[in-house]
Amino acid sequence: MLPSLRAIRVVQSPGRLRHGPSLFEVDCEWKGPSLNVIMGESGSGKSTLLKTLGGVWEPLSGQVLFEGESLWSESGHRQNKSLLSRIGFCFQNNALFNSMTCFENLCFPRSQRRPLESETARRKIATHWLDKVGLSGSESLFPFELSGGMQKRLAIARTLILEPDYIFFDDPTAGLDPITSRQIALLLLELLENRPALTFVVTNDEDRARSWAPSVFELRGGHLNEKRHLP
Amino acid sequence: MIRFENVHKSFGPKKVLNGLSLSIQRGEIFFMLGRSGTGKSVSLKHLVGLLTPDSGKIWIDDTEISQFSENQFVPIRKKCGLVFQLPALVDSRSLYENLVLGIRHLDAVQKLARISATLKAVGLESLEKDLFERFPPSLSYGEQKRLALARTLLPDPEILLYDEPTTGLDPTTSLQIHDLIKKISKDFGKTSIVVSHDMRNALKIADRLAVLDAGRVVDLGTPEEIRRSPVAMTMAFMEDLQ
Amino acid sequence: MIHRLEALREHLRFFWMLFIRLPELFTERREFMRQFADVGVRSLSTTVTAGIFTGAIMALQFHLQLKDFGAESVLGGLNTSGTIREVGPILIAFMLAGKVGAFTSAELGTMKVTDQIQAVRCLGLDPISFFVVPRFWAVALNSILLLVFGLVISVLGGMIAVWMVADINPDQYLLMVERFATSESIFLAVSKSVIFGLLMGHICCANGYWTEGGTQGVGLAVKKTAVQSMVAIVLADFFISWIVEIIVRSGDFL
Repeated sequence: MLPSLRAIRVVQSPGRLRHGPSLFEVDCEWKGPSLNVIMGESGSGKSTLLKTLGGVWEPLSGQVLFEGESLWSESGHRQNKSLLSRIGFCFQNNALFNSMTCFENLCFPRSQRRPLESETARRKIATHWLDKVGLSGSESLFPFELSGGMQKRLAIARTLILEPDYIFFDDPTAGLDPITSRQIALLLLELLENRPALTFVVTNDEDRARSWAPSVFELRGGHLNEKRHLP
Repeated sequence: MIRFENVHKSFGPKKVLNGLSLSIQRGEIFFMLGRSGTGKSVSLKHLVGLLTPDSGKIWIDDTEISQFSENQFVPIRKKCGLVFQLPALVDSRSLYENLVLGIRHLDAVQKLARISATLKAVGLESLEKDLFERFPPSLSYGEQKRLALARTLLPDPEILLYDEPTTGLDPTTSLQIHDLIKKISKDFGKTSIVVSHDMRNALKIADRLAVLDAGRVVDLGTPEEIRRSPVAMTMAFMEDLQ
Repeated sequence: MIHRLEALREHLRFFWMLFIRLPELFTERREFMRQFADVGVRSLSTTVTAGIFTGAIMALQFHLQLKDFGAESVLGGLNTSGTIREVGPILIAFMLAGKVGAFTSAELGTMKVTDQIQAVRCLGLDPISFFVVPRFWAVALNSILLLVFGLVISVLGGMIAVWMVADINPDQYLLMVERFATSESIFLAVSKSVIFGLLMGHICCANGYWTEGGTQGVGLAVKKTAVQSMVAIVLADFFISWIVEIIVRSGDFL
């Protein structure tokens, strides 16, 4: 079944306050594999929106449906585990496990979500992904020993290693210098090519956004406006 | 005038400044660009004594500061204000208490007058009525950056050092911050040294730019000269602007 | 070994610097009052709980032993003396180190890694006077007061415990307290409270201020505070008890 995501009157507040002012109300639908770029001013809530769509945070009200199914249970804030395993989220600050080596960071999601997989197969896949993102040779290094660009590559590999159908990237080039930024943008395009996934990328960087998609979604005034063509 | 003369600095095995030499004129807006880890922020920190060079000399006007003690840096820090990359506001104290950190010697009336003018200069007049009640975490990231700038401006330093002032900000806010840097520099006659990745805005407002690679200056010139420069690193930074 | 001696020297230097800056509390008095109130309020419930239950546990244990000898009548005195001299100060100090010490280390550590300490330095202020001195004295003074308070509460705890479990008359209990809780015991209790308070204040502030290396560093600082506080408290406890014992034996004490 083709991936699809529907946000029905999704509301979130700054800081996710129960009774706070609303940051945005989004009502949108995406069908089929595609790469969607979301931009907007600082403080508009782009990151918050991505985390709400990506299942990191529960919406204050409204629903986020993946192929018609909600991630969150009716009550009790529980999440649909099988749906969750089809989502890959790459955080802005990478959220790498500092106490694990690069190799262990990659093996971890597979060991959690594919417990029946053999150790040999898992290690083979992890090695393959390290190679794919240009980090072969860094297996036994820890995240804090890597440069900013290398950490980002590891984070991307960890996000994609489970071959998710829904992928979310929160400002993947934030804080990187222009040269590294370009390299990461290209890497993303390479990895997402021919992948049947529904992907969302939040960014502040117009130059990179241009390389990912001909038009963008803009979060402004609390609403997501479709398809602004980049100059 | 500020001058670096063959400055070297290492952190353990990692060499960050490898013979940095450059001079900055009074009153100019000077940008330092380069990839991460090339020593841009490290060079700024030397000017306010947060770091000491392994070798080489650094002059601020006629004073050579490379071997200065903490006490000797007190008057230097009055002359040179550093705006950090992270806002570095004191979360546990109110906005007012944060702003007056550098001007405690003034009386209450003088403090408030200066604060009012400075908040206006950085576009944060709306916060004036809430200064005593609000704390830094309640501000947006952009507002925190502006408040940090206001805090650095209040003691009226002659030289302003900006460490990646727009990293992490959206293009609109980035442009506003760069315009603010220019306005403050020209209206108040300050010397501004800006460390940045943002070549586009640098070319718009800088009087001169330096491009750093591997801890030293590989290119230096006015915006026009930089635009035409054949140096590889500079061209790599210019690629997005084609 | 040399590494540890170096570390000890750094600690001594830092402690001395904080101690002689007591007069600077006046400049930062508002911040000190704020910190003092904050620490006090945060630690009160922990102290009361620790105090009551330490007294109660010790009372029950003593009661079990004394019962066989038919000597329950001295329970009040023996328990109080034992609790305020030894067990009370250590247990209450441990709980305070965990609650207040860890929090202060984390707070200072976070300030360090988000450049707040550097920023304040660049604005012409001394970060030690501005951030650390008020916190050191807030933690140290609060700890001393709370320890003494906790020990007083422990008498109550012991009294209630044996009243409920062994039906011992509270009056009887309190009468024995007077007899056994000698001036020597009280002196020991108070001096331990003072030393433990100063130690906790120093350890949490030093580790927080010396934090390096991002969020990992903050976690490490908190861990160091917890471990070092407990080791220091136990060692100090031993030495104080030993020294007081010597003083008493040599008859210089009333």
